[in-house]
Amino acid sequence: MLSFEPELTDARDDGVLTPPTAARLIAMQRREIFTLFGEIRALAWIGAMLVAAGVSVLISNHIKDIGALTIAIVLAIAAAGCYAWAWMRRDRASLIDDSILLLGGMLVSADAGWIATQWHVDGGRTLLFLAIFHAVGAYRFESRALLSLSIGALAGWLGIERKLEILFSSNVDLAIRAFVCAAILAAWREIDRRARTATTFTPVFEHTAITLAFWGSLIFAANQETATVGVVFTLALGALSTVYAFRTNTEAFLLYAVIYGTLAVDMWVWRGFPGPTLSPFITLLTAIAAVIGLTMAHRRFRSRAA
Amino acid sequence: MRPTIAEERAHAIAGQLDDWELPAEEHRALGKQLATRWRRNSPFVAAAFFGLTVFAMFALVALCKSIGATEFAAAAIALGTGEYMIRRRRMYGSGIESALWIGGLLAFIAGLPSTGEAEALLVIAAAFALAAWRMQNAIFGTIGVVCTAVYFAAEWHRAHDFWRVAMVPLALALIAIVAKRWLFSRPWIDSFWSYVAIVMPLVAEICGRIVTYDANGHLEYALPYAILGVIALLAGLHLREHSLLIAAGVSFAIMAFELHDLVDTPLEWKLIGGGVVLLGLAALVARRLRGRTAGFVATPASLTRYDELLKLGGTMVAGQAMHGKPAEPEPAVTGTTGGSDSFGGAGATGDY
Repeated sequence: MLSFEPELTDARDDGVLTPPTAARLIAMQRREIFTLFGEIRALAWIGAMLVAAGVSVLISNHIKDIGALTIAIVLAIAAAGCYAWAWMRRDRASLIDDSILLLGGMLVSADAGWIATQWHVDGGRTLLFLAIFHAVGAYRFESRALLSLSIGALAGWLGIERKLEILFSSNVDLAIRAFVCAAILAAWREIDRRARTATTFTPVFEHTAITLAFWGSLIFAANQETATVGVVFTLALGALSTVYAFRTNTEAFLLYAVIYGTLAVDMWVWRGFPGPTLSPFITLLTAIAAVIGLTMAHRRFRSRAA
Repeated sequence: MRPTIAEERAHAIAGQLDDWELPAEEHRALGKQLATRWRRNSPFVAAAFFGLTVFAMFALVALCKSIGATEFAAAAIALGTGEYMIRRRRMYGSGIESALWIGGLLAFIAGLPSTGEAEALLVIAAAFALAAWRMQNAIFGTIGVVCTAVYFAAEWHRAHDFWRVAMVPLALALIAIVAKRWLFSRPWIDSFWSYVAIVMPLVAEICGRIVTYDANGHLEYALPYAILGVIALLAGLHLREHSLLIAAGVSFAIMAFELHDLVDTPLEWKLIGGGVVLLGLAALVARRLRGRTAGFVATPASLTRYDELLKLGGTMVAGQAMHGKPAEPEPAVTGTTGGSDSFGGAGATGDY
């Protein structure tokens, strides 16, 4: 076990902490107050995911036994039940309501997918419907989890899977789709920010959009014909990301810029300078340059924050 | 040269300041009081530095090999640079020097003649232990312990005996649970025992499964995890320690996995049933703790610093699995016309 009670007592005695603050923190160190918030939320989230996974297996294994219409109706009723639960408890929300709502959203996704395949509805349209449906739900319930589902469906509609393998794909069409999705998210974020000043969705839009844009430019860099354009795109995006990091005091954007920038340059180097000595030498130089650059930027970042 | 106990504790407190929800004035004043001579980074930034430096280490090793300077030269350069950064630049916990240290030791091991013996795992474990001690890094220490447990599994694998192989990691998990009872002055040692308690049941299960070549669940295998889970749960509740509650969760999850074959119910109903039980349990605990202000409470706090990130990332990935595969990108295919006729999720996909 670990307890910082001595340090907190010193801080109180030195006048760094006020007695009420110190008393609260010391109580936490003595475990007189011990919150199970994280454990409860984690249990509820894992529970919701298990139910969703079970429903998925159920659909796969019992296509013939149960019947298409029955599955569609049961899933719709279950999803409606989850949404109704969340709606009825919106004024006295408990720690598990978010997970129940998320389960409802995932059941709607599964149901829509099922209906699309059974009644030959266009899969793309289904994903677009889900993107809109989950977006409406996200705003209605102020849920970032539903917003994540909506963005996932939107990316799916555009043909993007959130898998690491796509980074090593050289499909230019996929890269363009990633850029389009990033642009849509950037526009959505701007509209959301202007329409709702107290929005909590901005970080979700920002991090997903910048990640997709970097993935798109890395796919360009991996493609033989567009390698140089890809590197230039990545570096330009990195510069924008760095400026944004300093403007908003969000260091993650600085890290994205350096990491993706280094990856793109090295991919270009490996292609342009093959050989057992030159390639690792230039890779080493770029990695050292990246570390030094990030160190300097990080120091400047910290001094500004202070 | 490394941080003193007081400095290390100051670093640990500084790392928790944001979670303590202090008034801005007190936050600033305490932060100032906790400042040490060491240059450190937040875990997220340190991870980025660590990744970039590991990348550089790979290039350095490849370069040294290509010019005939061997891995030992790369090891010497890395360890020398790491020590320089610690002693002269006062970098400790920046991510760079720890990557140089472990990278240097692993490069040294890579340069040794390979015999293919399992003892190599002990050498790697020793490297991680040394790096853990030098860098006060609990993750390196845990990897060292995992390598040691895997060594015993590799040594005894011919016996195909689950108990023999699982015994070492399970014993280590138990030792870690007991160790958490003591107050440690060095935070990294406390974190080390926490990680060992969480990871070792998983190592026991994986090693046991591999050496027995058996994918079926067994009641007798589930039993030690149930006992370990109960011990960790009781210890976690008694000591009010999050890491032990997580360790209990891991043990119970493995127990459920071992038992899943023994109940003749289709997988989908087991998953749904398990999910409903967890949701119900969460609801019950939340209800019991509602309105409490002392003892066990349910006031907002993070289990890890990246709770929200993990949840949203997991939801986005799992959500895509639920609503099916996206259209395969083909030239001249627009997003709206791309078909999506594969559905399923969480390990179950199918084409209809």
